[in-house]
Amino acid sequence: MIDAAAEREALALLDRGDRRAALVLLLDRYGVAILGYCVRVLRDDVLAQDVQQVVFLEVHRDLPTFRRESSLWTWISRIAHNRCMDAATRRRREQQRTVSIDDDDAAELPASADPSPASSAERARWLQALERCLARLSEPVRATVLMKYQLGHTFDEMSAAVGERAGTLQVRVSRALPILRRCLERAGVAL
Amino acid sequence: MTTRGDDGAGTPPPVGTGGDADADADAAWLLARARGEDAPPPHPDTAATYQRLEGLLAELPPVTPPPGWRDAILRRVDEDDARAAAASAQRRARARRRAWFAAGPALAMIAVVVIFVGLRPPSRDVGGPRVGYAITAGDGRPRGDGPVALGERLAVTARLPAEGALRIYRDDRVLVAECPARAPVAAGAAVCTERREGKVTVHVATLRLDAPGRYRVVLLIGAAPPSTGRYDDDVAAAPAAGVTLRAPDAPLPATFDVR
Repeated sequence: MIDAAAEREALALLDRGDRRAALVLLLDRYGVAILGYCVRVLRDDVLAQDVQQVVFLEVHRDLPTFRRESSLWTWISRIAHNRCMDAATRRRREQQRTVSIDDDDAAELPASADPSPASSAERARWLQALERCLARLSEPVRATVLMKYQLGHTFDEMSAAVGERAGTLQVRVSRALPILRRCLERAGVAL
Repeated sequence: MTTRGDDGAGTPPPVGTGGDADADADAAWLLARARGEDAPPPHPDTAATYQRLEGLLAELPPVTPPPGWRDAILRRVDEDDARAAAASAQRRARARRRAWFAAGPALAMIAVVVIFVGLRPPSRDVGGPRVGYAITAGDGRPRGDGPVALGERLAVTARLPAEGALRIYRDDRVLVAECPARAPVAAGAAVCTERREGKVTVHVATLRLDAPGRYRVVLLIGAAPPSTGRYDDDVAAAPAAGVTLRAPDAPLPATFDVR
């Protein structure tokens, strides 16, 4: 996911004092990925778009003080994770409810007679089922799984990004994967 | 609906814990694998199964952003910049007023050129037009009080009635900004944003100062005729429409003599 060439160019622009051009470059390279992460964590397109804007406002504001101790991608991911979690917390408070990960809901998923991904349509159905299974994870767990597999971070990078120990994140992902597996199996997806 | 509590690691237990030995065994193996330990999988096909699951997770299709998402972000950035610049300008203005008494002759080099052109008096309910402006370094950071340099950014914030407009000319010969955008302006010119605040419209023009010269800010109150692109011609056309010139109500900071 990280684009080393784009990062070098963005840092060079920053060194030349062109913060806006650096932002535009980062938007072009990472904007959609960050939006995808926020959409999947928050399960709300409008809220995710607002969070995406806030993330890049923060990126623009703090670029001059970026300390270059990590990649820009890890830094932006950290901002995105924090803002998504903030938004999720606010939403929970507003809605006065908690997110269920009751796997019995998985029975709602459409089953298929053929569990093997023989066709692209079947593959698409698998991915759709996976989206629905992901939605049943709590937000922090879903965010961790997505950061690992969608944003492509190592556990050490994730640790730097979210401020939790790598071991904690390893436990979280290791426990989430069997949940996803069983949810998919209930949806007729035999991995 | 059941709600799962977190354990010490902030992790919900696997679904159906207490009876799901397979999930627990899988989780233990996955954890060992994540730690780089060489543990045998609980079943011969476990490794391949999770490899496929991880492949699926990585394959989730990208989200399609809404049209204009990038411009929306850049607009918010510009508004944020303008607010920061205006606040910075106010701080500098206070400092400059203090400095004036201490070093007035030195500051006399600075020429402030701001003229309000009123095509008709502002209505009372908008509290009159107001303008603030600031110059920041090219990267958006606050700058010192030295001469304005090429590459720096000018941000002008103007509160106007609904029919108002904000224009910026360079050397009175080139229209480099008109907000709301209407007239053709010089290449590489300003970005305009606007928002409504009750009966007034707040216009923000952000402009990179890429050419030397004297930059003039003009506020037009009323339905302004199209600009000719030249300040003198625009002003000459204004009396026919009942133009009144007014000095700003408050001291304004900065100069736009760019060298």
